[in-house]
Amino acid sequence: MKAIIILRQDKKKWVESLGFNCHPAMVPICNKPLLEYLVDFMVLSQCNSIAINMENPSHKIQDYFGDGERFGTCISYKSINSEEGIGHIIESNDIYSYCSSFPLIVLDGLFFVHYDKLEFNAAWTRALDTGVLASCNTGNLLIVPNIQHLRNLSRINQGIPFSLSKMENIDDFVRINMEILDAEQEHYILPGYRQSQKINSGKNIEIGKNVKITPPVILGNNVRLQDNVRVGPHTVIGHNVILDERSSVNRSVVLSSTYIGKNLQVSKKIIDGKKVINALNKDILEVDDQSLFSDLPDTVGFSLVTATRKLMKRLKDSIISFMPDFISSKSGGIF
Amino acid sequence: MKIDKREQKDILIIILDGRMDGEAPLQFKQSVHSWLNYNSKLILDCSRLSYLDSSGLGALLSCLREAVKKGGDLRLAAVSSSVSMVFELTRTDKVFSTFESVPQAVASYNE
Repeated sequence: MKAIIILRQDKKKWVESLGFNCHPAMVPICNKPLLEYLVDFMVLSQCNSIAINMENPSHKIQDYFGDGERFGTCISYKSINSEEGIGHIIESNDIYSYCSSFPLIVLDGLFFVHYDKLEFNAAWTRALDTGVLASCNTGNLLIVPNIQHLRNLSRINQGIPFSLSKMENIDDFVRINMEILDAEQEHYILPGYRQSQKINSGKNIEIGKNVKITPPVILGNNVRLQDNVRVGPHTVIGHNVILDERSSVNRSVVLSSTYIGKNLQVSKKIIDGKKVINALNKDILEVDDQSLFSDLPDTVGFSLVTATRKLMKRLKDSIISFMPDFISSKSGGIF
Repeated sequence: MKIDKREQKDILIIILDGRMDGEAPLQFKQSVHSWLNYNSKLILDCSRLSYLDSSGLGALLSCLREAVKKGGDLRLAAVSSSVSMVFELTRTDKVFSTFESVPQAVASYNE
């Protein structure tokens, strides 16, 4: 099967208005770019070739997905103009020449596809037989057994193994994060490890004393929860995040590389470094006070410092444990 | 930040215009400290207060404590949504008595 993804410029506005420094296709949903869920959907559909067509191509998307090998497919990139219609875009893609005999998926727009990876194969076969056109406010998903079926699609949104959720504003962003948190964590390939039902956590998590985590919660990689922190319920913590002592975060999304200061209470917010967005009324507060909120440097330094500290401690403990008792006591405590 | 004041009977209305950060919190504390010798019923008109950082919040709390010690209070009026967010995030939203307008804050002292 082949796939074509079409990403238009006009879908960027809501992301830019919030000051998110990313392409809307890379907006993180439960710590994974939106576009990666769509690529997963294609791969589960056994697409061996995906062509991503973009107005104003993003090198960040190309850097992240590369040639698609690590996702189990082959990804290529193409630049398009705003005037190009979907028919022309399909015909101008190299994979079009294969589509007379192969099934084709076309994803035009930006939206989230809800599916269950465990229910996929049986339901998918049914959809492929007939071809499907599913729509939402921010785009369309077409599936055809071959290119000849493009003109004979039935507009069906029921009885298919997936549904579409629009992605055009902050409400959609929050809603989709919460839907996955609450009921769909097992439907997708999420980064991290499932600790228990509705708690998913990444690598290198440091948890202080008396920390309470109330599910559903997702924690990213390199997260530090200091003493007496409260996390959850209904909370996504991104990668490389520090929650300082006695802070509490619930019903919120904390994006990656963020520091949250001591004693703070974050509820129904989106935190992006030093930017605080009220999820209810969309007010945006830029906090110029690093004791409250701040951006954090990238993950390499964070995890390297932590890893080095742990290694030194282990080394010290190992050396002491091998030393005969009288030597260690005479040293007066070398360390 | 500009700080102005006016009196309404025995209530001192302090008008804040700008950002309460940097040097402003210290200036604010010093001003209020001297005014508290004459009035302990204070109202902060926050309609033109655009931002408050942790030092600004500390200054407000310090002035509130001083006012209460002298038998008065420090009440806030017309707080913007962004400044309200700072209070909520720092858990100080329940510490201050807050009113939608200066007249409502004035009326609260007469109750």
